[in-house]
Amino acid sequence: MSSNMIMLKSSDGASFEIEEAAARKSKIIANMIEVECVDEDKAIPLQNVTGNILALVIEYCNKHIVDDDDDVATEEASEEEEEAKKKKVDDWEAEFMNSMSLETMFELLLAANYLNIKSLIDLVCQTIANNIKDKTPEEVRKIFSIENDFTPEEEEEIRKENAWAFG
Amino acid sequence: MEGMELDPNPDDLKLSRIPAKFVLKSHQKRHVCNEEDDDDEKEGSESELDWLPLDLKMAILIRLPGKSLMNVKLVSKMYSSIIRSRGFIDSYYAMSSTQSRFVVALSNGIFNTIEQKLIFLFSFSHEEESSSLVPNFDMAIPSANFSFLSGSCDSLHGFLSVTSDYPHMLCNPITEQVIKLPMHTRYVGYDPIGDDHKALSVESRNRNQHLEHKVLTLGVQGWRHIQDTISPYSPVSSGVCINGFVYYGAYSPDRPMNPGVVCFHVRSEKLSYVKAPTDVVFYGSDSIFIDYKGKLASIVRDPCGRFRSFDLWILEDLQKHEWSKQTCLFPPHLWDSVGDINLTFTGTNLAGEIIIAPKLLSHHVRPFYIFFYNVAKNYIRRVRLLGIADDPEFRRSYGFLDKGGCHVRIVPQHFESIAFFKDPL
Repeated sequence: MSSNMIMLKSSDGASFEIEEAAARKSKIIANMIEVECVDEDKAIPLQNVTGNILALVIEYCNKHIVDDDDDVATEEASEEEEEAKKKKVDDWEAEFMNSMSLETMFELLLAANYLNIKSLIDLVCQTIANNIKDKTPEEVRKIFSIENDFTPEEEEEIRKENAWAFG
Repeated sequence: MEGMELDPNPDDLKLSRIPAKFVLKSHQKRHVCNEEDDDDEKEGSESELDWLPLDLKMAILIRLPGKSLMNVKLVSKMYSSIIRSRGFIDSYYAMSSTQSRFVVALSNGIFNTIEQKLIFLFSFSHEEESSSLVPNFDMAIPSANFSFLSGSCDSLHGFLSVTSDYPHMLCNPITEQVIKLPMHTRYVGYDPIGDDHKALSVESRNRNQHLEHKVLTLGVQGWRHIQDTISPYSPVSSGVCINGFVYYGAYSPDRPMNPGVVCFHVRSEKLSYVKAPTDVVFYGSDSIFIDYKGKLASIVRDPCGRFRSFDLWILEDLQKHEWSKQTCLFPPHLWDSVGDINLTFTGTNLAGEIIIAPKLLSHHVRPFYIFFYNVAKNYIRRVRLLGIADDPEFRRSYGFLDKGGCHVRIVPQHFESIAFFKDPL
């Protein structure tokens, strides 16, 4: 293992090798690196993240660390290049999120929150929001298995607030 | 926070705590048990969204458009209580304040009957470099219209203050709440420190010009008289609210004596009189006052003709009554895209560009253009607003008559709010 690689271990015991720079996207891991918090296998244990989710987090971090390097290398890039690069990242993120189920998204969000990776929290929250955006209340309940706990009167009351103008 | 402006729903909020606690437990359990037993299956009937800690739920909800939140409010009690909580309403406004948009208020013609009259509110995102913009329909206000004599629109912390042929109104395009303010209302302002919307009534008690000032705080019942030590004056223009001050043009005591601007501090409810150059209020009710980068400014142009230039007067120092003036050229060829309609100045966007727009919809179907004037860079750009004036179907369906009289008002900067006044008056 080269000096700038570190090992992460998931709650279900899976180990992942990752560049330290990529792992530092997570403030929690960065802290753990500082205090050399490693287990007997010299791996950083992440008790709240399962292997399949950690793999996604690592994929995200690796992708974004490469982009950050690019930024440094081409500081004087033209506006068009900047835009093209941003679009590339956006496309990658769209594809990345598109490939996972809602359930996975929620687990990824909890992991990103635990690991404190702000840009990933933003990305997942925005994707979930996009899933809700154009839905009726019934559709939102169905997608997220939420029980309607309003009495018909209470629901009517809120609907009235929404239709104030023509009430 | 005094009185009850917005609905904080303390009772409902308590509900959100129960699922929030439940969240942590089930989430931890879920990770531990994931591979080993079937508990997960049982919990699968619970919502993943419900499992999330409250801060993550809010992080998702805050990214929704305001109109979608009105739907999500109906999903369950927990979502309703989050969305109606004071903290969420404030965070949502803070988030929305970073997204610049403007509102076009369009009335469907003074020749319609009262039942047919409508003011349509459309919002547009400010997109630089874009030569055409697509409208987002927000709501319609029934039984109201702008006219040549009355009609103004101002944005006050998520609410639009609208004057029309109907009494003064405050409306929130997101919740679609319309508050019809009492007849006496002449100006409306917002105090950002106390988070209060206040109506100001200015009426003469007798014929010797003595004015009586009364103030009404929304959410607190009744008008209050305020003591004013200001010299007698006659208000002449509509008002504009900038950073907790409402300004309107006036003469003291009467035209043409002492042209000036009355300045009402919404928080302290104190009035003061600021001297102004004659030009600033010369056109009386046609005078234009705008928020120019946080300062009061007046645009002086010929209100009837095809002006080729206009003067921008800026109140540089409120205490010293100091105004600056610069003359800006308006390229004559731009009138070709306007026709015979008068242009008016509505204020500035976040970038400081002055928005110039026709006061009326064209009689016939044709593209609708507005202009963005960057005074600092001496640069003007033309932007087409799609789907309103150029859509015959829209015009036909919503009573936009060929007879004309369809007035347009533009609010240069408006930020979405999901606030709702439970008992405004």
